[in-house]
Amino acid sequence: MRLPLIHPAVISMLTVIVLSTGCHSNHSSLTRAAGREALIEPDYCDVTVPQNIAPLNFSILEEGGQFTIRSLPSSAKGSLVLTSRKGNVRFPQKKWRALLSENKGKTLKFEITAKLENGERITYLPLSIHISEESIDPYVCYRLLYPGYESWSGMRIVQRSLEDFSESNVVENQLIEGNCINCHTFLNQDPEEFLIHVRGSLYGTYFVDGKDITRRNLRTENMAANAVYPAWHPEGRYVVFSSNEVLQVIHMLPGNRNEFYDRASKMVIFDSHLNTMKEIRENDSIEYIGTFPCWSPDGKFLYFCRTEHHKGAFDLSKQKYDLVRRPFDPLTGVFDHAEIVLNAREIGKSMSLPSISPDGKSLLVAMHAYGTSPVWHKDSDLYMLEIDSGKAERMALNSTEAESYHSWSSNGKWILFSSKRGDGRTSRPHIAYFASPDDVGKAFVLPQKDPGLYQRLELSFNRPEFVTGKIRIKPRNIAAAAKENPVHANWAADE
Amino acid sequence: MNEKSNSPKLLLALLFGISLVYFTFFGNGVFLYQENRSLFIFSGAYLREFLGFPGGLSEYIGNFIQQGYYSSLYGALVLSLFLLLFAACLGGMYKAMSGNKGVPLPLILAPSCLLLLMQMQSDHTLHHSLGYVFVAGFTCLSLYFRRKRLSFLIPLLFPAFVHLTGSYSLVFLAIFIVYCLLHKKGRARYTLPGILIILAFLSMMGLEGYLLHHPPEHYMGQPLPFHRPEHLRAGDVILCTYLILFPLMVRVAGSTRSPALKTERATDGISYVLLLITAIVLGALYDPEFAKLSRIERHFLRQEWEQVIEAHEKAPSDLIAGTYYYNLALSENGQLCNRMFHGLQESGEHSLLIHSSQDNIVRSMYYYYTLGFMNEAHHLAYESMVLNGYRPENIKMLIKTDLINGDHRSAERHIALLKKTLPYRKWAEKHERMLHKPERVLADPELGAKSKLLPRKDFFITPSDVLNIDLMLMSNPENKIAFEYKLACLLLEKDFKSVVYQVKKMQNMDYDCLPQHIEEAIIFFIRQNHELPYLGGFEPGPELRKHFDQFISATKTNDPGMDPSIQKTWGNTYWYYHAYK
Repeated sequence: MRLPLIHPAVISMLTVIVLSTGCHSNHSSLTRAAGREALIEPDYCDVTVPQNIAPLNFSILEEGGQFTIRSLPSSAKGSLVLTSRKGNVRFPQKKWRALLSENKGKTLKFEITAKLENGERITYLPLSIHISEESIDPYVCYRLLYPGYESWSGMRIVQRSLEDFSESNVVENQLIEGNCINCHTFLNQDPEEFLIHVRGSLYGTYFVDGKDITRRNLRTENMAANAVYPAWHPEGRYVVFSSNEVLQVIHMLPGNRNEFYDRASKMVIFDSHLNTMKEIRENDSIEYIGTFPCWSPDGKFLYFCRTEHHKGAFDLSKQKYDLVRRPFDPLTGVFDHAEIVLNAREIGKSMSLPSISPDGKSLLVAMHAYGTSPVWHKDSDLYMLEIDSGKAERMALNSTEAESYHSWSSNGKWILFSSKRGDGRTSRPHIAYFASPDDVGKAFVLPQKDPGLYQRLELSFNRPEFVTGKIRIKPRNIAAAAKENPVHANWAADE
Repeated sequence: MNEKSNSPKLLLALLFGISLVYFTFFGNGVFLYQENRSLFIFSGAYLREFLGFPGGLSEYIGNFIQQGYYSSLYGALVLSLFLLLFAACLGGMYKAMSGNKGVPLPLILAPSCLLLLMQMQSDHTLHHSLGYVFVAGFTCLSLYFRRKRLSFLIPLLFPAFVHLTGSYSLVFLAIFIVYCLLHKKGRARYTLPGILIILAFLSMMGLEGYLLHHPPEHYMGQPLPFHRPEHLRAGDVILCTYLILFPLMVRVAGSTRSPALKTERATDGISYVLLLITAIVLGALYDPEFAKLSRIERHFLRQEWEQVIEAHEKAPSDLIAGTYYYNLALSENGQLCNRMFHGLQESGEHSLLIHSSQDNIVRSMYYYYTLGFMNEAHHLAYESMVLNGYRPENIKMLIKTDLINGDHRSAERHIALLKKTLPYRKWAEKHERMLHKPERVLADPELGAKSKLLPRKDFFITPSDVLNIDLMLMSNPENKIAFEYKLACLLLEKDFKSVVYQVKKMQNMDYDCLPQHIEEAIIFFIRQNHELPYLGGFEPGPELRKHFDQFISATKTNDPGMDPSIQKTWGNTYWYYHAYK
């Protein structure tokens, strides 16, 4: 439902009426100041948003038969005034865009007044929204699925505009025999070049290059498991994968649900020029489990998480992953020795999902008590590491629920991450402004046309990624590529 | 058949009566399963879900009507009325095709009887019947449009009909083509069928396939079950073929010159025979074991434990699920080791837990819930929701386990969902009052009792149920239900020695006296000259020792197979189970 905009002339008249009513002796009994901000869902109070963000529609969680929302200060064209009976506030997109454009770099306020059934009016303190001059990438891409256990039904990879509410499917699993689709990964956030894994009958890693899609089978007989978590080298030739043998266990103590862990995991590198897969070996007497690869923006370091490989029974609650990095020479494709960046034993936390800011100075990583599945750990929080100084700090944007998958906007000014803070079960994409490690804005959830969507929706937004433009391929393109025989990668032996 | 006669009304009333009696008193198990396979939600989002695929709307209407299947009488009335409606539409088709007012009853009774037989299967849900009624109804409407020179309305409405009924629209298309070929002349024979074929192609390939992104088996096959060989049902094939050939039958019936076949007596006779055959087939296909199980299951789902116990003890189901529910109901009543051998225990320890295969996923979750494995019950309920969509039992289980586990925000969403249903609204409102009030959860007789069974230390569920119970008892030694399940398992495995060694643990579990079957196991142990371990202060009564001696002497002198009094006197004891099962 779109709320009507009231003409400025009508507003002026209404203002006169309201003011004249205000002069009446009964004013104090009719209008009351709440002395606080109105409760709204999602919480957009005091957030910093990009100047090109879609309308921050919200629901007012206060008592009242009619709500009036007025923007302050009024723009050259007058205030934006909305009314709503049920408290569902939906801003008209054009007016919203104009409002943001006029208030770039300023603080926009919204005054909410509730009219109770007895005629009394309650005015709440204005809500503040800071409009940053920094814009955000126009699209995000995520996978929508049930945050379940082993089974799945419908599963989609979706691109969503951040500037409005338009959304379209990139991959739909019902068109590819209902198989599992996962790990969409872009080359430098380019909508023209990305890859996705398809498991099951139409297995393979589908490499998208513009309108061309190549179905590849990256698993050779030398690999004990599929290629799983990818990281695309910035120059595009190489993709590093962890090849994880994943197991699931279900906790019995209330408060935890399920847990994924790696029985084993190797790091492998795919060379797209040679169509080869190769293990990234470590010259160490200790055997490791490696996972969550991530390249530095200059492509000279591969960051990943690793822990010692214990064969046989081990105590999962004591398994902790270090954050390590290995220098890489893109010309020769050779890695140097690994060095520990963050030591899990020293910190007392296990590390997952490193990602580095585009300027290469800051690194975001999820930390949790143990193991390797942050999305299933309530205690999983995001930490910011200043790479040069080695200083790592827990970010203020964390909640008591799991914060996990994250990515940086192409200008490095916005952080997108998954959080289960809403209900403890479903991941929602949250965005926060990043000026410096010491200056990070309050996180806000990806705005939706229907502000009540997150309350209803059972599905999780998995692996949210910024994309610099609109992805052109359609679900049917992937379905067509699935009919082609896969190109099998060859195993490159150690030299 | 041209004279006015009461026979059609009587025959249709008979058909209605047979259906009503059968589904009210015998075949009402189908309602239980069908009602539990869908959850109709009064919301725009739920409607949109069904608008998004071909045949979805008829499924939506079917689900709406099926909400009332909670009552068997309602269900029986609905199915019986559908049969009449189907027969009426077929009658209308005949009249429109032949131009005669008199309808040869066997022609419309035969498919109606077939539909009645198909409705016996729990897989044949209401929207399948609805599809056939829509086909017959739309054919009538199309013929009416033709007669009134409004033929242009048919292609106009056809795309909507495709979306309404999915692949049933193809049956209509085939009927219409056959009708035009047989009953029309000149260009009219081909024009409209040709247009409809193009429209069907465009609607299915274009709208459903391209715009809505449905795979071919969806837009060509749903909801008719032909696209998957394993679900191919003879009834659907016969009925579809019958309907498609209906215009031919009308033509043959109209042109037949045999006076014997045209008399009222002949057609009535055939109709009565058809009804008789239907009644006989209904009786032959009736599955008493399925009926017993559905009776037990119905009581179980309503948490009527005493009725479950009574039903299984009076008329035990041979199906393993019947004994499974019986054992769970005994546990819920705290009587498992006191009464389990009063009912049939034919399947040994397998009847204590049904493994959670895809078919049994909902059934197996009750085991975990009863024993306090809330996370596992939640896991299975969630899997069921992902695989099968919203169903009353999976959503209720998610709510209960979330409330017990303290995940109130997660429970909130599903409570809001159930509040938008008709049959479960009150249930949802009751549980809504517990939201964010843990003290109310603890005060609730059901959820509070379950909260006490929760593990106190973490462990991972394993594929071994025996090990899981041991892990649970290590985590929460006061979990009496898990303890009794462990003992029940040992009793069913005839491992009475291990049972006796567990008895001492009962002193910390709020037992006033020994449960009957545990006491029997101890007597058995003593009489086998084993040295009795410490029993935690419990002792078997002297009366029972005497009773056991009587059992031994009776079984020594008489063969229990020949002497039914042995089973009558000792059939409800562990001794009898140990000796003869």
